[in-house]
Parts: sequence; structure tokens; C-alpha cells
Amino acid sequence: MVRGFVMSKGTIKVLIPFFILAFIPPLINNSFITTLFISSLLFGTLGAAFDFSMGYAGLMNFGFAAYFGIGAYATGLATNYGLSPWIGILIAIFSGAFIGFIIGLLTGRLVGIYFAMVTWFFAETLRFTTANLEEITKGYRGLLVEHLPNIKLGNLIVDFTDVSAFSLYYFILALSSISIIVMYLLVRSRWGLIFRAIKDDEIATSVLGINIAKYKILNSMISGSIGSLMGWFYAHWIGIIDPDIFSTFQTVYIVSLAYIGGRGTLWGAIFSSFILTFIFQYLRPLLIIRMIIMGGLLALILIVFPKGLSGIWIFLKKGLK
Amino acid sequence: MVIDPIIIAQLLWLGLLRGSIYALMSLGLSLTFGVMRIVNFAHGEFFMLGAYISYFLLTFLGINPLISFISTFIVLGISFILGAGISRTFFSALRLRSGKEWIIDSFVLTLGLSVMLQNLALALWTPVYRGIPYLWNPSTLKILEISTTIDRIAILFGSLLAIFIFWYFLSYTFLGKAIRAVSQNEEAAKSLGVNENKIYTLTFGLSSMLASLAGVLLLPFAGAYPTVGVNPLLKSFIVVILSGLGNIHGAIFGGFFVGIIETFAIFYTEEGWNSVILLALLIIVLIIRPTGFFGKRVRYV
Repeated sequence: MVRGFVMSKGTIKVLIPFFILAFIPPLINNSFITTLFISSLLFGTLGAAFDFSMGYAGLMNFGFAAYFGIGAYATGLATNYGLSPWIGILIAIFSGAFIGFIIGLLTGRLVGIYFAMVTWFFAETLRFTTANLEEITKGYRGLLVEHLPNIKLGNLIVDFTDVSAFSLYYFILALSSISIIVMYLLVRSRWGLIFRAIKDDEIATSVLGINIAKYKILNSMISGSIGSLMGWFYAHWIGIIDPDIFSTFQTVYIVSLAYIGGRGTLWGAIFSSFILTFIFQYLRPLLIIRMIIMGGLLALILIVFPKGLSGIWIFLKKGLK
Repeated sequence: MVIDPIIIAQLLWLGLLRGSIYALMSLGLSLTFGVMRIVNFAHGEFFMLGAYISYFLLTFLGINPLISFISTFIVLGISFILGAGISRTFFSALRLRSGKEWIIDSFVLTLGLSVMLQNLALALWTPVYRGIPYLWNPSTLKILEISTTIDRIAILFGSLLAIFIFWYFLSYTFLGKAIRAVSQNEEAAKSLGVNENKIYTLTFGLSSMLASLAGVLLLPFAGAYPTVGVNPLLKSFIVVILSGLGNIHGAIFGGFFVGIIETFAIFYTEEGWNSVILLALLIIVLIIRPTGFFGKRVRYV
């Protein structure tokens, strides 16, 4: 059953944009553009993982940076103690899922805005804690993380040390497409229906005999492990992390991506991430203006196009038919 | 552990001061939630704007008690108009669109507003710290072994007066009663002829006014810079969550409670850990009592 599902028409439709994305950077062949593509995919996938909670189960995770940061710090500390980054990836995913489990467990009775507040306080607690544990985390001086080691495949050497290399781009493309496919399959399955039911009416769903707490925890764990997988990549890619990875602004950016792209689409966040990253890069001399634009865009989207950019896309598609 | 009556009295006094600012901030935050069902993340930005406008007025006009007094009222007027304007444009427009998801949608809208206002301040006034040495009088004095300054007494006096006037306004005037009516039962208030749009505008304006008053009063201590509102915002969120969202009396008491607890935590714990302790306590409280200490059962949260 699963095999038939994986190869279904919908899955292929989801994969097509990734196939297209795979060809663009080599065609442009500009290391700066490749870096932008890596960054867009990274934050887009974070936005999609946030969307998996917010857009489907209605869980407004306003501490999403906690997942991202815990993944980065887990691998950062593990590699600094001499472990390989490939073990770090397991530790990162596990710790993200663990944090998701804790958040799901803690917030079992909370709904809506109270859930948002507790997750926010949770991320802030992690930020203060990493800043205070200076002997271990180096605090605001920043923790240095080694780059991913090169892989030798016979004669071919896959270069991971150059931050703008195509090999890194294909690696994040693979991670991102696997994450999106996993989330896509889940929201199309019975779980996805339950998530949506919880979003629509929690009490009615529980009356149907569904264990809501269990599904909320599962949702947080999946979104958490994808969030910290991205944190793992980010730490090894950038090479230095500090407690501001948990900052509220990080979460606000991820939330904005999901909202501007359109809630409940998964793809919307990646789409808006590409658009915002490139607009921002174009406005690079006006560093402050771009944040004003982002805030304004978020307000505009909420008021004028509640379905986000993907809503415009759907509107255009209907218009063409 | 230092337990000395004079130190305890001094800490209580400082906690009371801190608490009065928190109470002022949380009052506005609680009011917007109670009446408009908006969890206002941009509340700290009005604190920041209050500090900035007051700074520019005072450096332009010169510092003396009378001018400080007058400029405070000018700041309050400006922030009221600004808040009312934001309510009329952004939130009125969103209200036309949003239905069941209003609370989360409006919260995300305030996120956008917060990012915009903060970076607007950054673009206009750069991240430079701007401060003034004193608002009224720099001299220190000692009352019953507690040393303090006239500015600190002015903070407590100013915020207590504002809280009292506000409480009187809500309890005994017609408009205040209308605000409470909308917060208790919007449909019933509407059917009795209360224009809910006017009440929303008034509420948001008043709430921004209270936040900017906190910014003005704290100017000699906190100064003015683009992110000055972030910390008061986090603390006032802690207060309103602890006391139950939308509970106005709870916000006042909760403000003083958190202020005093925090002052003691800063004194008795290792540097930097007090925020961790406060947040951890809060998470525990929320797990045990999801709607806060004084919270009623709120339906659509």
C-alpha cells in the first residue's frame, strides 16, 4: 500500500519542482546564487515544517526556533566532543523529536494562543540557558562547528567544505525533498485527516474516540525532527552558532515564510522563501528596509490575501481554465 | 543568602517600582485581549515609541519638571492617535476577512506590525542608545533607611495614578462601562446600541497610551533604542499569562507580583539565571492551570 502511495501522481507532482530546482544552479553557475539557493531551501523547509503544525493541526508553534536551535547545538556540541557529524545528524533528529515530545506533552491541555505562548517561553528559556551555560556552549561568543567532511566515492570526491559548492546544494535539496515528501505523505494519510479534524474542532474530534493528545505529540515530534535536521545542516554549513539561533526573530521569520507562502500547503513556504531571499538580496544595501518590507508583506498578506502567494497561484490557475 | 530587614525592604521597594511598570504594560495588553481578542505582540513597540518621542521632546525643550509633565501628556496624545489609527486601518481591515481564526490571525498581524515599527525606528533613529540623565530631579534621598531618588518615586506615583485613573474610567464612566460591556458580551452590547467599532478604536488607543506612558516613565533608566520594548513586552506577557488573559484586575496584581518576585530572584540567584527561573515557573503554572491564576474559562482561545 505504501509503495503505491509513494509512487502516486500526487507525489510525483510534489517532486517536479525539486527536479526543476536541481537544474537551475548549474545552469547559472554562480557560487553566490548557489549559496542563495541553499539558504532558500533551508529556511523554506523550516517554514514547511512549521506549516505542518500550524497549517494542518492548527498548532501555532511560536517557539519553532527551539527545534532549529536544538538541532544546531546538539550536533555542534557532539562534534566538539569528537563525534562524527554523521552521528550528529542522528543526535540532532533525536533531540528535535524529544523537544517536540516534551512540548506536545506539556501543552496537552492548551489550545490556540496559550500553546503559542508556552512554546515561545520554551524557546526563550532555551536561549537564556544556552547563553548562561558558557563553559559548555561558549554563550554569545559563539560555538564553532566543523564543516561536513568530504566523502570519497571511488575516484569522485564530494566536496562539502566549500559553502557554495554544488554538492552541498544537492545535499540540502535531497534533505529538503525527503522532508517535504514525508510531510506530504503524512498529511495525505489518515493522520493528516486527524490533524485537520483537530484543527477544525478539537472537542468533536475527541468525541469520535480519537486520542487528541497523542496526535498533537506526534505532530510536534515530526515537525521538531525536521526542524532540527535543518538546524544540523545549518550548523555545519555556517560553521558558527550562538544563542540567537533561538531568538524570537528567527521564529517570526519562519512564521512569516509560512504565512506569506500560504498556510496548509507545505510548498508555499519554500516558494516564499525563494522569493523573499532573492528580494532581500537585491535590497542588500538597504538592510533595514527589507525588514520593514517583510513586516508589511506579512500584514498585507493577512489582510488582502489570507491564502498567501499560493492562493494567488490557485486563483490564476482557475482563471486560466 | 543575605537576610537583612533593610535589604529586604530595599528589594521590596525596587520590586514595587518594577512591578508598577509591569502593571502598566500588562494593563494595556490585557485590555486589548479582553475587548478586541488581540494578543498584541507590538505592545512593546509603543513602549519604544513613547520613550523616543519623550526623548526628542525633552532634548528639544530642555529638562525641567514642568516641561517633563507637559511633554508626557503630548506623548500620551500622540500614542493614542497612533494606536487608534492602527486599529482603524489594520485591525478593521483584518476583521472584515477573519472569522474563527481571528485570535491567531490578529496575533500574526501584530508580529508584522512589530517588525515594521521596530525596523522603522532603526532606519529613522539608528541603533544608538539615547538617554537622559533624569526626568524630574537627580537627587537621592533616604526614607526609613531605604535609599532612592525622586525619579523613582515619580515612577511609582505616575504609574499608580495612571492605574487609578484608568480603573476609575473603566468602573464609573459611561465609556468605560461600554468597554467592559463589549468585553463581557459583544452581541448584547451591540444590541444595546454600543458602537463596537468606536470601542475597539478607543481600546487600542488607550492600550498604546498606557504602554507609551511606561516608556516615558522608564526613560531615565532604560533609555530609548529600537529594541527597548522587547524586554518589557516579554515580562508583561508573563504577567498576563500568569493572571489569565483579559483579566484587568489580575494584570495589575500580577504586575506587582512578578516585579517583586523578579527583583528578589535577581538579587538572590546567579547572574543571568533569573529569566530562566521565571520562565520555567511560568511554564509549570500554565501546565497546572492553563488559564492562569485568576483566569476564567475562556472559550475561543
